[in-house]
Amino acid sequence: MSIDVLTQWLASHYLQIKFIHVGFATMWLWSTSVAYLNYLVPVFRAWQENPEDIDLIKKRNWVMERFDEGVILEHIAFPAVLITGLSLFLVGGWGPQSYWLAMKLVIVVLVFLPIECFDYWLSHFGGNKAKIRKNITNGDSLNSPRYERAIHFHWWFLIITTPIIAIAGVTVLYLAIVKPM
Amino acid sequence: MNAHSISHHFSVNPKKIRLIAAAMGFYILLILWPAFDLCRLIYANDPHAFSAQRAITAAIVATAFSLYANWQMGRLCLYSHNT
Repeated sequence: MSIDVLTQWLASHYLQIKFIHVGFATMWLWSTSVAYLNYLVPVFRAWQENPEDIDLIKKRNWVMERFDEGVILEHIAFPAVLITGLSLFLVGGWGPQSYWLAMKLVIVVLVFLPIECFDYWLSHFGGNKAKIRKNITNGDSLNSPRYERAIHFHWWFLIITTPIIAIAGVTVLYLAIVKPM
Repeated sequence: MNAHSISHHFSVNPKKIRLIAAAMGFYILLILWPAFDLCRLIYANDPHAFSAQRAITAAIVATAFSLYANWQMGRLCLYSHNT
């Protein structure tokens, strides 16, 4: 299929693609927020105050392993947002000459892409806590330095990305919907 | 009761959080904003790209974000959840 045929097909489905794009964008942005704010953060803060409390450590490990599973929705949505975004870019008539789109593209490429690549690794590949636990010889995650490092590493990732996602996520949504300038 | 042999203590302090927040501000100032201006210059021939006015705006945004990030990250990991 030539690029012209593809572009024509995409142009005739512009609003449907836009609907899918916005749907996946909101799924990507907010699908983990309830779990993060109401389950993960309170448990991690309680653990930080009582770092050697074995019940809190068990709860912390469980909630982080569940969170690794919980971000699957977010990580299905993200590539869908990129593909539909690229499709809209091809046929929407907007380009980087538009102030809002230039800013949006910069944020997506230089902020979200690196964060999400790292998040994929942390949650589903080398940093996945359930996989690390299953590879521990005696299965005791409470005494595994590698498991502990993975938890700390992921918590640092979440601490650092929270303000970034909170501001950049809402900014991108605003730019996409309002299209200022 | 400490029933395990490794330390589970999370190492964090206000200085580390401040440094990370400052690094985020510099990322906005030195990477994001120039990339945006470059994009505007190449594709839109924007006369205001890399202007002093834009630089001041970038500095204000970067500082405001650093302050917010410092507060938000500190709220997550520095202070008691009872306060």
